[in-house]
Amino acid sequence: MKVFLTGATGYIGNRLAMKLAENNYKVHALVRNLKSDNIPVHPNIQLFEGNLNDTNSIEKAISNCDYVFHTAAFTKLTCNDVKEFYNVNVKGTANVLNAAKSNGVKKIIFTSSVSVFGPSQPNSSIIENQPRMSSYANDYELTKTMAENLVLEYNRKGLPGIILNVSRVYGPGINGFSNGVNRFISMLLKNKVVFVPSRLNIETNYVYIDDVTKAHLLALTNGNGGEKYIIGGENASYEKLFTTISECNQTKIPVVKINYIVLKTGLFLKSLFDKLLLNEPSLTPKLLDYIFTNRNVSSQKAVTQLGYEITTLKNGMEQTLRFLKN
Amino acid sequence: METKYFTLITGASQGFGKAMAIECSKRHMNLVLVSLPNTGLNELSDFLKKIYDVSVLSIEMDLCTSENCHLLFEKVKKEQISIRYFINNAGVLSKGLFKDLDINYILCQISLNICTPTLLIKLFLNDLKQNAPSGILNVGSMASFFYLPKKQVYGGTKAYLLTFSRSLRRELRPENISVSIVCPGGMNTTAALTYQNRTGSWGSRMSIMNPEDAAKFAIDGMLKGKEIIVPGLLNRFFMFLNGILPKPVKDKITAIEMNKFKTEMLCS
Repeated sequence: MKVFLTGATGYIGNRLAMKLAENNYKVHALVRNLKSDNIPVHPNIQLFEGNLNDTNSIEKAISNCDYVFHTAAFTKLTCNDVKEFYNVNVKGTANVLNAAKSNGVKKIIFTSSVSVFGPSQPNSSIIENQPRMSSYANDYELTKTMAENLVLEYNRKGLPGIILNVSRVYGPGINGFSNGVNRFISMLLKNKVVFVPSRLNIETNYVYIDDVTKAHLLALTNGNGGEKYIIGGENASYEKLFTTISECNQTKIPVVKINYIVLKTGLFLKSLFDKLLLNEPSLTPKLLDYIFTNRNVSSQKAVTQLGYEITTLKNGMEQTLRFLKN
Repeated sequence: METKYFTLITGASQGFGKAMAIECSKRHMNLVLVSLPNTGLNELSDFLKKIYDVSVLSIEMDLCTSENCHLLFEKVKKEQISIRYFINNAGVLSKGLFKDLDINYILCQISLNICTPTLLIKLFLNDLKQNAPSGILNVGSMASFFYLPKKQVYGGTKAYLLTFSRSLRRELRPENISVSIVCPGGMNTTAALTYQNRTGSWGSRMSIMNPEDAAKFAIDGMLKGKEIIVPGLLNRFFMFLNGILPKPVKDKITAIEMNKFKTEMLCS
């Protein structure tokens, strides 16, 4: 069976390409640069050079494919230009959907994020059909929502589309912007002292990478067109995340808390400075708030309807540490 | 037993109406929410009940016709619900040049923006009298004050609401019913509109508000019994300029302002 895959040089896409190839799917992977270090290599993976805004390249790669996995996205949250997000996440998705429809694709799996639901409310986990309670916090959330709307629109037009809302992913895989948890763990392992913002009670959801790739395969076989499924792992506060990492690593992580407001003020000044010097923006106050937002989720729908299974944070972390230490 | 008071909001499933529904829930106000079918109203109602522990009655219907307005009144009465605050938010936005607009679209816009709020206030006036001190909040627009191309009929309907509100306010004052009108500028309501707002000029981006911020300001104003509520510092500055500048200058500013309103038009 042939599948078309975008985002093969990204964190999820790369792992998914290998998983599909190992399961004997013939993968047509669209990549921007054939010489990228992050290219998945396997006899079942055929590479097609192109990009999401080059419709000819999509047409070439998608032809004769039965299914589509659209994992590619522009995720660089420090980018200030909404058009960059729009061109990849919205226009690019429209191009993929269009090609999929005209090539008679049977089903498309769209990789999205739980951030499209906004923050979780106190004592409540995010579920698929809940309304968004506040405006879009950044251009990533906004453009992923617009892309989801397109997937649902094409679903109504007869191209079955399934949306997977993935929470914060960690675990073995390539380094990239979407792999913040791994980078953070590496930092914890390397440094003697780690400075963290004082809001360690903020809870978010951590999903193990191999659960995410399995969920994509499950969505292909068991998912219904027009449905959204939250693909999460365990809900945990930053406090719990640190404890789990310490336990798995069998060392105590010396964490020094910095007052959140002080840190935010510092970041504000730094970003002003960056703007003046035309530096590439790094961690901005807005991005800090985004990372320190409650995002408890429930993956119950995926568990019951897709047969999705969750790896515990402890198990996932043990495997991640093993990977990062090698 | 303590009487349960309710706030009725029309057009409550999306955008500004939804933001006001959330804001009222945060203030533990019980709600009757009305909006078009299949716009996510029931999901919103269930969620508000769960998170804020308020009573919510959701009614899906098109308020374009007077029959449905009467039907809405009957439905609320059947549930023995008494309305204390009435928020007329449902409306049809502007779309383009007068010559290009479909006449049925225009007539529906006039009906929903003018006839519906007028009729509903008439129907629920008795509730408001009984529950006084009570209040009405009509949703106008910055277009209630400015004369803008492509906003002809829309601006006209919103100007009607402004005059209607201000006159009615004086009539109902002895009854202890406060009548307010909120006149917001551009807002990040839908995803498509938010994107357009973010690609606008610096000046227009500065004046765009998030609906939750505008809603907080509007509900505050309504509960305090303010006559005209204009959310946003920059929008209030536009109003101030409107009051002091000579006409030729205002026309120039309006032309610039058009860029800002352009975004709002594409959504309906």
